[in-house]
Amino acid sequence: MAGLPRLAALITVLALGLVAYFILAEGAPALLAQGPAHFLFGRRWDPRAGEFGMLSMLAGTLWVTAGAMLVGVPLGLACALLLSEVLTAPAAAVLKPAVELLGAIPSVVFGFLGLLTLVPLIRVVFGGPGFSVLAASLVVGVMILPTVTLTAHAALRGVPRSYREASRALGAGQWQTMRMILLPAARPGIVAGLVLAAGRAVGETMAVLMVAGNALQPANCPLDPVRTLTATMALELGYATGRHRGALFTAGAVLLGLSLAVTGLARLAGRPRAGEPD
Amino acid sequence: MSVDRLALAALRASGLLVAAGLLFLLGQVLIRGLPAIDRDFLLTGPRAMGRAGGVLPSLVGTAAVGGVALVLAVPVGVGTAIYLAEYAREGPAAAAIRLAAEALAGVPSVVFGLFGFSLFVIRLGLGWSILSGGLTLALMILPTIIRTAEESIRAVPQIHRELSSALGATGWQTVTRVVLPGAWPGILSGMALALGRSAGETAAVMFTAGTSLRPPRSLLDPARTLSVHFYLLAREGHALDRAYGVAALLVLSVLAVSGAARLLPRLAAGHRAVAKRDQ
Amino acid sequence: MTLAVCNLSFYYGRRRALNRVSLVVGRGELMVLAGPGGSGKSTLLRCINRMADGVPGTRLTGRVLLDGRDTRARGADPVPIRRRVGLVFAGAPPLPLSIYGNVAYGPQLQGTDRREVERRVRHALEAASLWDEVAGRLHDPAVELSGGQQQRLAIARALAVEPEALLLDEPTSGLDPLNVSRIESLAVGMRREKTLVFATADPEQVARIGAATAILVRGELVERGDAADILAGPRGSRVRDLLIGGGDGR
Repeated sequence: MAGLPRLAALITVLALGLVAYFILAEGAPALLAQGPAHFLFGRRWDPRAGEFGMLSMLAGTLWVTAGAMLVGVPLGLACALLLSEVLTAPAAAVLKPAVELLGAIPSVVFGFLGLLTLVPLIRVVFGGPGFSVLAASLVVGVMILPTVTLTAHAALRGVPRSYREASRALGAGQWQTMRMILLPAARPGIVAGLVLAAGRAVGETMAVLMVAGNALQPANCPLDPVRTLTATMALELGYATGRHRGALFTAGAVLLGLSLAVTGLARLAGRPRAGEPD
Repeated sequence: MSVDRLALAALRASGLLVAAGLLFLLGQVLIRGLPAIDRDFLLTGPRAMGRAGGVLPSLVGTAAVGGVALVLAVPVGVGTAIYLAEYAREGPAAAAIRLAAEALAGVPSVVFGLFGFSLFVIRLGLGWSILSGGLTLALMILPTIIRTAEESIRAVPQIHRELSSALGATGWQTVTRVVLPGAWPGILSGMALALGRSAGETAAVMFTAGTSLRPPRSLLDPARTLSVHFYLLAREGHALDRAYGVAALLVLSVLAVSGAARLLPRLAAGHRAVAKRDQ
Repeated sequence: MTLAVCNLSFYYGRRRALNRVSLVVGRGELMVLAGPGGSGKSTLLRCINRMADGVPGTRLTGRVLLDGRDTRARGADPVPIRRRVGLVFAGAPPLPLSIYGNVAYGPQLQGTDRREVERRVRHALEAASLWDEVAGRLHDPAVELSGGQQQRLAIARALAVEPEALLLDEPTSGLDPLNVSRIESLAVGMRREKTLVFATADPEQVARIGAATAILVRGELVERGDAADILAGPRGSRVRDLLIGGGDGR
């Protein structure tokens, strides 16, 4: 019986191995047939012509991720600072569950509301189709906010009380204390959270799919529609066969590689420096 | 001083913005969605490709896929957590397992969908089915189960383990008789979180459980879960009232699950609080 | 059971907690192990029933023999040793179970049938002179008991396993005089049936129990003999200084 936990742990490691193996095994033939360089840097994605260049989708993922970070990081950090430094306990007891709830709402619901409110709004205010980098960035930005806030809040809570008191005793204001003392002291945890948030933005699928427009042309400005790697997979897997399906798995392998890199980076960034509490 | 006040005002405004955003989101969904939810909506099947009628098959499908995922992920996840917290402690094995769990947590859901499609649907011949969807979701929620279970196992006071060993318990007896009962509330709340996640998941189930509107009769039947149904309705853009109704159901289930995840540990915490006081 | 500790040393990392300790407690004997806080009493007791084993960063040399058998011989399982040698921790809380559940825990582990478990629970609670106070509420949570009752519950819990030897680690610390004297007379009363080690930091308690006594200071046995001899005359005042002053008088 005591061997059961060991077996379970083995299954956990095996699960990751299985996922990686099957994604790579399905994607490798298509990748090798066309050559990795062509795949990553080819501009044309045309399944019917057998052309699978992912560059515009990679660019689309980059657009949306960068835009989402611009939206989610400042707001998310602000909420973390509010929670740990500014708000009274009852107010924090409202904001924290609200942020957690935001993180639990399914991404299709975000996509749906974005589709019905943001997209028309952008169309009316800025012109264009409305389906755009901007719409996707706003939606995904809100979706990654909880990751930013909760990790940063945990990091800020780990900063010893004495730092705050010492800073205030020297006459620093509350904001100065946050900017000069608290944020730098909590930086490893905050940065790790930002990396995880970026990873979530890269991997977000349904919400982006519903508001980004999914155009295969590269975007030139935030009001253009884009298509991300994840959206392509979700849109095309249903009917793809043969090399087309292989190409989608190659895209999956790229995403998997990115997510593993994100996990590694978050670990490196989040490693507490010597003498700091975990 | 004025910079300080300006900055603080900006922080407060950001917090208000976030809270208002959430309220808008919930309000929009619930105000427009709740009126669509009635007996018929919950207890009948869809008509006209879901544009009319109810969502009963999707409710059943969601529960079945989530249930299968939990049944598969809980033993593995809790077992892994026991191994990490009680047996491996620190060391290369524990580090590798923890890394695997973290990596699994970071994998985008659509990649799980791809994987489940390739392995369960095609290679193992399970087709689009509740079982394929459940297996795929089980992998997705595994990290959540492991993390919450490990935290709650570590929170069991060390002295309880020592008392148990001193009375002649084997390591495994201590785990089953003292550690797991003590960690149970936290494990339950992790299960609630995981169930919420699987109910809201779309990309990973769409390609593994399928999109069939027929009521499922066995684990090998395809099922269209609530979130997949919602996505397909929203994409078509016709029956918006139905779509809002499903969105409201999804949001309500998320609210219920978050509430349960908070309440469960507190309900079971009564006697533990007393135990803590005496240490 | 004859319990023998031979040349036992124990290290937490580089810190040596016990230094070549040797002592023998014969069957039916009561040995008082006296020493100031931090002198290594708890560590020694934990080494005897192998509770100190396997903690990362610790190291043990020397031997502990039960009836002449090495407890750390190759392939020896710690679990049966812990069933033979009970250990009552200093000031430990009860298990998060009912009063009955706490005492029944040990027998239940061994797959004892229900009737026998009930008999043992009653017997152990009586032996710990707790039965009259809890008989009517056996299924209440054990944490609701008072500190003195919890300490006697801990002794009952250990007795229900029916060990041949019982190690009591400061079983009266923090208790009121009434409970202290109850537990002292319990220990003295049990000496006929069990091999007993009673650890304490209180010289008055050493005098009250009046049994064979060993003094442990900074991990070393510095004195041994009958309580009356050890505590008498100039030697006695030195021993009292050691116990009260934490060994700084050396």
